[in-house]
Amino acid sequence: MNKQQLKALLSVNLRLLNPQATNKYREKGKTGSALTRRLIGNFLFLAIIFVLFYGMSMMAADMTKAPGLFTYFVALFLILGISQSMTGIANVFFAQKDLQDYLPLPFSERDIFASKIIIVTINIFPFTLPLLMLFAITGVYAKIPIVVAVIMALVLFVIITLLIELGCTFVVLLLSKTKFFQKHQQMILNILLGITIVVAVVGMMFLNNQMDSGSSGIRTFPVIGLFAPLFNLLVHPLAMGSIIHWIVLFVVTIGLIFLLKKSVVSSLMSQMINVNSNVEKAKVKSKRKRSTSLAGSLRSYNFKLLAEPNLLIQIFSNSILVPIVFIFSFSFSGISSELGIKWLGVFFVGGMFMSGITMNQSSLISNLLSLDRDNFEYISSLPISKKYYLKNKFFFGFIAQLLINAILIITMGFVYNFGIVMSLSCILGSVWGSFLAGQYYFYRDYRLRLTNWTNITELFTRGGGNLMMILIMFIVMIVGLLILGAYSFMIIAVSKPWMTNGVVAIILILVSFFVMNHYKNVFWKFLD
Amino acid sequence: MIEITNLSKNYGTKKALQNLNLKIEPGKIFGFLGHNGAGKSTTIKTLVSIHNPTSGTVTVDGLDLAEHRQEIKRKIAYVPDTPDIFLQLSATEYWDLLVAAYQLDRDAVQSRLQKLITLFDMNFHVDETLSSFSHGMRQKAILIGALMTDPDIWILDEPMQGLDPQAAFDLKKLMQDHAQKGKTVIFSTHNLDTAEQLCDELAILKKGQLIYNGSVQDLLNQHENKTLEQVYLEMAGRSDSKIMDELEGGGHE
Ligand SMILES: Nc1ncnc2c1ncn2[C@@H]1O[C@H](COP(=O)(O)OP(=O)(O)OP(=O)(O)O)[C@@H](O)[C@H]1O
Ligand SMILES: [Mg+2]
Repeated sequence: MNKQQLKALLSVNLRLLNPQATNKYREKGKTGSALTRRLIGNFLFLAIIFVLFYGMSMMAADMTKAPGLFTYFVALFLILGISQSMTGIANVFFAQKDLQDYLPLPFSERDIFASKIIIVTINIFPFTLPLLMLFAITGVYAKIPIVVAVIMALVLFVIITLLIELGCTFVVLLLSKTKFFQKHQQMILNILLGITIVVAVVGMMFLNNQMDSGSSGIRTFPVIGLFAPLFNLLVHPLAMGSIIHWIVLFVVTIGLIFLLKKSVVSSLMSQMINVNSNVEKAKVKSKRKRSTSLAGSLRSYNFKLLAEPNLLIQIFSNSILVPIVFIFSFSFSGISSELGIKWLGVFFVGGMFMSGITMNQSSLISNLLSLDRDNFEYISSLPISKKYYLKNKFFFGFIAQLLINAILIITMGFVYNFGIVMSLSCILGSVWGSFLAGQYYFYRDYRLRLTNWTNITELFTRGGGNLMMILIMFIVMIVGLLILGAYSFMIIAVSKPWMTNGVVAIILILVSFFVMNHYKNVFWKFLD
Repeated sequence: MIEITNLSKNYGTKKALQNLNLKIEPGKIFGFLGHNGAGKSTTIKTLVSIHNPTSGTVTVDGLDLAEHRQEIKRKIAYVPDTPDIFLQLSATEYWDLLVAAYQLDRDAVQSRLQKLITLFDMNFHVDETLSSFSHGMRQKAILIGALMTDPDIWILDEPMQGLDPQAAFDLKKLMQDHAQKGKTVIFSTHNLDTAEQLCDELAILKKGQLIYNGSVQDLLNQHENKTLEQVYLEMAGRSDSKIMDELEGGGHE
């Protein structure tokens, strides 16, 4: 491995990984190695915040007495880590167009590979670092000397991270060896990531169903057998069984590394190059009828924008996966299926909040304009009304968002037994909520429009970045739950529920009017 | 010396390059001519390891490209046909990346780099990102990078595109100097004056096939009293010769 080359590649990839922070520091006059240092510092800071964010909830419980909870957390973060890592690998190895740019340069293939895999690993840290925290806390609670506990946690963490990465790399590599994959790369990646997401969602639901609400109201979890050894490793590190498990873990990890080194890395780059150059040759044979209307042309143009590799995956994982984690972390147990008509309003408002949670800066509607790249400016020069063009785009994104919400709500309806009427009310609420929230995100995309991005993630990290996105989601969630709670309480407590519903309806109308008026004044009015 | 033997490249079922045979000698400036889509960039991208050929071989100084990629890449500086690469990096960061790639010593190339920056009038922009550059400035930043690393072989895909007249003039001079030192310069262009001025040797491609390979002088001698433009248009010419008349004449009825 050549240190000079690897260092240079890493600092490039670091900028690609975090374009928003990069721009921020550039504006402050940082470039070159000073910029690299700031980016590393920035990254460490984010990682620490993440750990604190999740760590707090772990600190609270004495894990040594709750092996079930321990295994629950392990399963949760493993599922998240694996799906994130799949996305990362697909992105970094298959979607980044920079691979082509490196090809003519005399970089060793191994360094390009290493720099990418390191970036993928960094990419999953937000989900794996909480595991480190979990391991360390558990060790400390088990009265193992702090230094030893931390070292054990670190070793275990490294092993687990390696296992995730190696596992995912193998899956992707094995796939990329097949002819079929080379032909239908994008489709297979989409399916693969789709499956990962479904597994993640189903896994999360399953975990939640495992949770018993005891009579005292404290949640208890059954132990998940697969991860029980990890618990014993940390709590009784010197027991015979634990030592055997340590050895097994080490052997498996080292074996996998060896296998990867032997079989794959050598042929890796040429494989990637093959796969990547095969993408180009995929001919677009458009059998679609040539549309003669402007609306038709625009619609088919907008559909073509979706062909951006990995766009859909990113959107789905951010618009569905993350919200689901949130939604299912708060469980709605005990919703009766025979709710009276007076609850319609509550579900409507619930639907509105739902749309607030599923819509974020990585949604389609929040990026559609930037997807245009330079086309947007060009289109402005055409004799098309700009307002018409933008409205057309807005509705395209809006409908996509509706589909996502409808699917989520129907699923939830089944899982929690809402009943058809309540589900419908919820869907209607999400229609209206998406329309209002869409105004904000569509305008935001217009304000922060990027045309010269090279990797789609640059769009998603505009503004506050991922952390901000999760924070906003969290706040919407909390506020939403509080309001829904208060609303439900009023429905039960006030003898005439139509009064409560009436007041809420008036508030809704006022808020809607305010929001629409606001965006009309700051945005829509100025077009044309 | 670069030897291209029976080189073919397909994109899917489209044959972009068919059975190309060429010898490119050092000490000369070698130019590719051809209409849009003729296969110039395809040939060049195969030489610089961006594409694997569908069939055929390339050797550089006797080494097979497929087997000695690293070694050969270190001998080549490449300027792509579109300068929109590494847009997130500042110009200096991009050059640093090249320094690392070619495993050069930063201090050793510094004075050459500084001269190139001054020559191309880029002093005020070195810390700005490539994404904020104009088309010509990006082209300059990439040229500076290629010329800074200064390996034996320069491969430039339409290098004058977007350059101001001064920069284009300077670049031509640099290319001539490099060839004069006994090194290799390969480039593609649509500008026939430039080709006539610079090229010691020409290759003209048409629909993926080589239709002429030899010196400019020989070509002109074969067609007496004609300019290079006339000769080129005759050779590479269009399939439907009446279309222009139709467009301007009867087309507006
Ligand atoms: N990435 C690609 N995928 C599919 N086909 C391609 C690709 N690149 C080039 N081609 C096709 O290969 C043929 C040759 O293209 P090439 O880029 O080599 O032309 P060129 O001579 O450089 O043209 P220009 O003067 O426009 O740059 C063209 O028919 C083009 O459509
Ligand atoms: Mg070209």
